Amino acid sequence: MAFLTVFTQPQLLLLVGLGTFAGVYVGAIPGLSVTMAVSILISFTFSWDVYPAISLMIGIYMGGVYGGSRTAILLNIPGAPSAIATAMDGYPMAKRGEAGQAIGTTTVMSFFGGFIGIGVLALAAPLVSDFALRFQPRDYMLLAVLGILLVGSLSTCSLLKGIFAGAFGIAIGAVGMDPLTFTSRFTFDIPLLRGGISFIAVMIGMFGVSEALLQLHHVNSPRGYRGINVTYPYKERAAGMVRKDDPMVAAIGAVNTVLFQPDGPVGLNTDYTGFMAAYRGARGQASPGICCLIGTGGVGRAIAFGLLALDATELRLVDRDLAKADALAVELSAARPDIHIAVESDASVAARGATGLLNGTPVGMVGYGGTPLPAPAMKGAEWIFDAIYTPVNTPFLTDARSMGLDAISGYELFFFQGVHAWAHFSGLALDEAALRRSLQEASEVA
Amino acid sequence: MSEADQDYDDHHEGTSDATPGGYADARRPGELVFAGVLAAASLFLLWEAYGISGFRALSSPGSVPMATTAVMVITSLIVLVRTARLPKVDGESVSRDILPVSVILLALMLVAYGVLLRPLGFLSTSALFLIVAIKFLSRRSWAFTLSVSVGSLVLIWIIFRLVFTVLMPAGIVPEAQFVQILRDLFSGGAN
Repeated sequence: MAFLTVFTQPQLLLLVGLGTFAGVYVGAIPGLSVTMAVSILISFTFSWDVYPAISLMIGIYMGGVYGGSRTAILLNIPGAPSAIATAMDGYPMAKRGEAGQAIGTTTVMSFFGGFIGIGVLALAAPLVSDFALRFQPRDYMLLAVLGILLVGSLSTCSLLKGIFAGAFGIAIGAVGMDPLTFTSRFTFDIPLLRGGISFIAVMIGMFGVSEALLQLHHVNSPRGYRGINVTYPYKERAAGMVRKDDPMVAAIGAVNTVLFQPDGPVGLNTDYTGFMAAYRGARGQASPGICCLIGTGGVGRAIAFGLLALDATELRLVDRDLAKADALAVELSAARPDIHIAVESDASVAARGATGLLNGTPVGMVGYGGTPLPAPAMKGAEWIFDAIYTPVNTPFLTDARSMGLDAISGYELFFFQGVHAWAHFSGLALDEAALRRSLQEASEVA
Repeated sequence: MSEADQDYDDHHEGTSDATPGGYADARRPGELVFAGVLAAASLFLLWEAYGISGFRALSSPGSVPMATTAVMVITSLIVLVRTARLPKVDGESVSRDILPVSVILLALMLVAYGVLLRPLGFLSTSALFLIVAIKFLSRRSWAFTLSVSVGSLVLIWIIFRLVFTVLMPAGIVPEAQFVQILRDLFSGGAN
């Protein structure tokens, strides 16, 4: 059977694949139609065998019909007339950041749709051709009425405007010579218009140019964002790309909030101010005293600088990676030469005689478990802080509470870094109690 | 952002034709004028369609154009009346939300592009348009402007002119010679 030939000859499958790949790009370019690509291809394939030639053409055709959806989704400019409806749903999705999903859905649906089409064609071609031959002007008329009715059902907002647009479309289509009597219609004595207005020109003008002009509204305000919140693991990278007005933020070398100011982006660190707010919220003006910080990467750095700003009397840094702790110690000493900074490799040793114990490691987090410091080593401390907020109650916090220490959860840092970022973005105050309540409700629902 | 701004969905951030740009219960600046222009244009087209063959017969060359333009006239008049009745939107102005200077300038540049395309040719007109538009919109260095505009133009020219052999107005650029030189270059060994 000729149908199976394709599957027995791998080079035919390869040609179909190649054709599809090229077809996607041809289809994506408005103005380059699939028909055009296939007819250009004839000059190449004219001397070929029939199977490879048809394989390549089928590939180009299938890819081209689908390819028009790419520009429709990403740019709101349908690459082919068949992709206009794709633009209506796909482009809004792309604007919401769901371009990948839109393209994926289109790909899968095109694939299945294409197969159904091929199936119908293979099985019903003789019947369809008989049917098509019997198509009368009356039937074309009914088809056109169906199209106009579809316009009405698609224009969800205003039926009147939908009907107007449909009629306007027909009027554009009528420009040129009447096909039966060769009377000029809407040509205004311009010779060029006698040939009619090409579909591609209308499509580029209506969709492409209007979209381009609409985009101009926002060209100098990048998406209209006031600023962004940066999270792990991009805080250090963001710090390198922005201006840092606060010397403390420059010293931390990590940024979690960026404000787009008229004179360029400014980096801020509300992890560090958030930690200070969390501490003050729990312990008021009391001094942090001698602090032992376990974990000196990421959030640990922000906490360390927060402790300096809170006037800790001594800071002991603990990290399995001593080089990292040493590097941070050097930076901290440079920022505050008056505070003694020590580096330890054993948490239990460093905790001896410390007033505050802080965890900046992921130990205790969901999926990690454990505690950074055994309970007996916490004896003699006054307060502890755990940067982890999932779960809100870690073993480290529970141990501390059962020993009667002031225990500050990482949830507080998480909460206040958001509150401070909001203040930077909006310049407005915020009802903290209300925010706490709605976060509580939201997490209960989740 | 003032309070009035927030009432209406961020000024239709990145509005496209897929999402209608108007409001159901209010009239944006310029909307009434636009509806009026559409109604006037529809009336003109109806008159133009009547001029094709008049009311001679039901199936005359002018009957379909007349029917469609009549539909346009009726719908545009109803839209005009309805728009006129709506209250105006607060806090929006034509110069800021509908036709900012950049949009008008770019639209004029597009018209200029169409006018210059034939006398100057595709390559020179496009280069001029791209350089001016990119410099004006991006406000970045000349190196960036020139490399992006000339680079994309060369790419488009290669794809359309060389690969798909689409003919474009040559104008003042001796384009045919380029193509011939390139052809000679590639076929030099074969001949």
